[in-house]
Amino acid sequence: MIGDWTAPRTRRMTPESVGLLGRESRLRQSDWVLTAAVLSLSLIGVLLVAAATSRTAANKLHPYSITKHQILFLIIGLVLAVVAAMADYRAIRSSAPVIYVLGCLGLLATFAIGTSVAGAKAWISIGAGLTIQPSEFAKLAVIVLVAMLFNAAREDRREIGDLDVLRALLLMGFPMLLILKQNDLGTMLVMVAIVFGVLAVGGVPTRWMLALTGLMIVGTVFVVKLHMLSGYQQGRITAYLHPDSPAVLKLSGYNAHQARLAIGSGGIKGTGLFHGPLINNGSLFAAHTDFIFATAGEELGFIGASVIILLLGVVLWRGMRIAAHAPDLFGRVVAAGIVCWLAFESFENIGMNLGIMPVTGIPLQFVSYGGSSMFASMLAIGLLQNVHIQTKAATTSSRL
Amino acid sequence: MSDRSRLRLVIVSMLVFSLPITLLGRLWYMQALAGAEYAAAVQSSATGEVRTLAPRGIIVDDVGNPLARNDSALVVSALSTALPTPNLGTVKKPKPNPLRLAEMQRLSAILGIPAAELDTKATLCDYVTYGSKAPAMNPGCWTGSPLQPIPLVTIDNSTPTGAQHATNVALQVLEQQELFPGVTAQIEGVRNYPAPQGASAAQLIGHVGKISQTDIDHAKDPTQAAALKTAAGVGGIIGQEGIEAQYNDYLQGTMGTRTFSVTASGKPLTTLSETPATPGDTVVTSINAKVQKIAEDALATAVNHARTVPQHISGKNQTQKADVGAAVVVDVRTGHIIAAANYPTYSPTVWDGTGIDANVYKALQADPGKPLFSQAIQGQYAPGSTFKVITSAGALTLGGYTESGQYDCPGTLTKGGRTFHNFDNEGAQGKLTFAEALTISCDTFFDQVGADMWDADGQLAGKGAKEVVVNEAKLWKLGQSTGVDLPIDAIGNIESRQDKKNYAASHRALWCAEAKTEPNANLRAIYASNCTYNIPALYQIGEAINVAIGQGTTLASPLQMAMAYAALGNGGTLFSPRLGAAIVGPDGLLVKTIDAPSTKLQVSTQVLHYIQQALVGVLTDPKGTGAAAFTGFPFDRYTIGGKTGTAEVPPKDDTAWFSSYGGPIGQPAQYAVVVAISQGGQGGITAAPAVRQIYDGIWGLDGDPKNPADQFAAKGPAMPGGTPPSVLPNLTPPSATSSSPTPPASVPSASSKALGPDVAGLSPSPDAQVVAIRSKQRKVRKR
Repeated sequence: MIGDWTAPRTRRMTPESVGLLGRESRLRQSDWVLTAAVLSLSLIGVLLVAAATSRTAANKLHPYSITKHQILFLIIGLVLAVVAAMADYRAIRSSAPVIYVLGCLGLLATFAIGTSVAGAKAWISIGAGLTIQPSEFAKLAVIVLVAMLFNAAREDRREIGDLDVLRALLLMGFPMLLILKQNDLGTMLVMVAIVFGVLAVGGVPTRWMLALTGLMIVGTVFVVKLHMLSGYQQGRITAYLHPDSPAVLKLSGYNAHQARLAIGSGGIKGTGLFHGPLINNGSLFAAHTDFIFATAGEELGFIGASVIILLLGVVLWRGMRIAAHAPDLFGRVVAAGIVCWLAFESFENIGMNLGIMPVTGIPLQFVSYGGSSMFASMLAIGLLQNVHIQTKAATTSSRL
Repeated sequence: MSDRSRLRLVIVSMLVFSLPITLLGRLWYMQALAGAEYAAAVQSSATGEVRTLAPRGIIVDDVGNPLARNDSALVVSALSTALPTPNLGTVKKPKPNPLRLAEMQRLSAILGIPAAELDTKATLCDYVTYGSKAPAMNPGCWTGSPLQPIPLVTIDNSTPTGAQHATNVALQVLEQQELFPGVTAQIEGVRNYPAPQGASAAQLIGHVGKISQTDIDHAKDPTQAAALKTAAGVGGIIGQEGIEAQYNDYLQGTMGTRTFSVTASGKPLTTLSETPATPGDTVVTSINAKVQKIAEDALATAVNHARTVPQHISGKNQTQKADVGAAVVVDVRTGHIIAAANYPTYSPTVWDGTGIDANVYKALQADPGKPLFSQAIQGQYAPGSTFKVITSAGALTLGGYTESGQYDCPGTLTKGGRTFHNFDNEGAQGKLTFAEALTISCDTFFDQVGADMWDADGQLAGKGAKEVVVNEAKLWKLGQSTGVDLPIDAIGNIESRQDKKNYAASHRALWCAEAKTEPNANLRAIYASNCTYNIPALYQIGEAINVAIGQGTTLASPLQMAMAYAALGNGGTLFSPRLGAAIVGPDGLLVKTIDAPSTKLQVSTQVLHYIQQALVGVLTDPKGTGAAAFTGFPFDRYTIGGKTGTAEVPPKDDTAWFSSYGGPIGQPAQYAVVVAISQGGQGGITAAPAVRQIYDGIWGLDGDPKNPADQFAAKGPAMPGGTPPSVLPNLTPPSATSSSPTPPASVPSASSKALGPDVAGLSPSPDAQVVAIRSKQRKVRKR
């Protein structure tokens, strides 16, 4: 069993406490509120995936095949989270360059053997109809590497200087360039949020933060002015809403419109799980992936959909708490970077469902159907727990 | 931990937590505050509409024989959203879908149409991708709604082979839906012109065609234009000539609407609401197919006679060209047209379906007899001596002439330097009354009347001219539109002094120009002469004489003369003719009756009676110009008044006329019958026998023993009792053979149902919709 993995770490423990969840085991030290929130989100996700896929005509023969996949992804994700939580804190820190290089190699691979989905060439097929998205893991790799760099500087007992910032920006810039080349705007935006978070919490000079903020504002205006957001949407429009005015549709974005209709019509109580008419008649594309929040909105109403946002809020709160109490700068930057990632990605995803953000192809962590997102998010949660366990261990040892 | 890092953490935390709070706020707005609006929007936006065409109303004759009806045909159509998608690649790099290609190949094998053609037809003009360039990028693509079934082919199943083919196609397509996803076959109505009794009446009935942009442009208001555009998008048809065009508003019915929810990919789901199409109204015409056939036959016989039997004209014995002609029968009591025959004519069956074969149409257009043109309604000829009744009425009413007065009928008359001869150089007939002059049709008599009235009008100066003949003609609505209920009509030409001058004034510049440029020497000479017109010196005595005998510039259509003679026969009621008798709704209930508007002629009963007597003499007096043609006619049972006309229209041969009215003896006249044959020779020889043949047919009499076509006693009267039916024909709604289109959502199952479990239902039932079933009858005409 997995218990063996913990053996070297339980040397000081009594025999009855040996085991994964033993009284003194590392997992016992994890943040149970965070764990509960993530598990709740994941289970709601499984239910929503089932609701979004089992009733549509496209899935008549095997109504729950996609749900089964998702359950499998969840189990694998949980295993990855446990592994990440249990891994040696210092080992993670020192292997950050390796993780980074692997992340970049994954991204490069998409150019060689990648497949295109909905306009973005960001996936690698791994057979059996499944694909993985290396950019999901690249986010983690970037966070871990920058955290290590800043931590190293701090351990040299010096302030973070211009050279450290430049080096961090260069190292983060490379995978971002690759993501941009993949035409994956959503992930790109998330990367920008991560960069902003890790630099801020890493303690880079304030002028750098002001300059970067200014750059982001200019960049946003630029992107919006050039309508670079619209190309992605158009690929999803394959139907006429009003046959007589295709132009109206072309401009407004059919699926975003349908998502808003689904959420709005859900009202306070929703139509009930499995009973959303727009979801069930297939009026919404990607109702189990990028637009799963619309599924929640229609079928669970404000009551259900707000629970998802609140649970995400809990995850962010626990993540920030972990960052605040982290034993070193590495832990703090990792935790803050992960929180920024999760916060912005969920905001972008739910925001596009609610019609306040442009439509980009990124999933809702823990909830949306998909392996890559689940695995990467769970790894991130595992890392947060790892930092948390390390904090507890440090306080315990200092108390001893 | 540095303070900077801790402060930054607080700032980042605030930013991070602002995000879910923003989302919660937006969510609350959408679901709690605006939820009802979104719920309402769902109802309206995730739906599609399909317009269903209404079965077109039928056109029947006075006893219910269909002149235009709907035959059933098998229409194979495709629903673009249910077919395999045509392109698996991108716009720039298209990649044809092998599933679709295979399906089109299978369909091609059954239908015998190239797979590529079917594929194109079933492909949407993708405006989303191509914008307004779409049809250019995909020539032949479907411009209509993506939710509308696209008709691929129409298989006529009115013939045994057609029915066999249709059954075969329907079986294969409907029973193997897994091989033909998105394709369906169903019975629909297509226009059919059955030509009852073998009567053509093609120029009256008209035809339908696909709605064109021109039709939309010429819509009477924006609402109608929008309706036509919608109908055009679903393959709708419109009446384009004749009754089909005139009564299109009644015939077309109201389109139905089916609203259903659609998926994101445009696939129809459940039907939300449906307004069924309302079939068009039935137009009951006053045409009697039997009389129409009799008139067409009589006309053809007369034309043939003129072409084969030489006539003695101007000292020569010769056959006539007799190129075109018309026969008109109207009911003098109601002003309704019973028949209007054309020579040459053609079978209206060529218009079956939604159009005509291009080669057939070309041949009809190229025919020198212009069969597409209605000689009866649109044809304009010099009325010749048939016009003398107008001259007589004018002269006796306003011209100072008296019924008992006797006036000269010389052999020749010289006026204004021109010598006018009697017809065929007949000699002087001495002094005659107007009645005698009409009976023997003395030209010089009326020449003198015309000349005298020109003198009385102040000769060329014409100050305060009464222009008795011209004004009398206008009173009888000659030189004016008849107002017939058809898109076509003829005005004819009755020229007053001022008309003549106005015309010359407005055309002189043109004539002078043509006099220099016209290549044809003869025409050039005419133009040069016209160019030199001294306008105040126009309307010489010769003009007045020509008008008095219905020649020169005088023109009238056979229908105009028929209406004039009808007024003469009925005692002075001049009708605006009508072909439509009644409109009957699809429920079989009367919508309205159509009455012909009329005016009362300002001619005294005494004068009318006097002229009537004279016209009876034309047929009964041995010297009468129509007597020969009516030899042996039972004048003891029927009274007919008529007038021959032989209008000289050089360089052409004479136009032969016979205009008449008649009825049972001692009773009011029933019908006016007019026959006019261009280049037909003498009216008494060519036209009068045709008129007699028509009366014989109407009343069931045997005519000239030498004319086998004029034997009707055995067949009985075409119009029993000499009256049109006093009740409406029995009609079943036109929807009988037109199943409404099936819902796209359940295409295969619904159409199988429409087809019935037994595909033998495909066999045609031509008269299904006109079978008289209804027992309840309503009076239409009261008299």
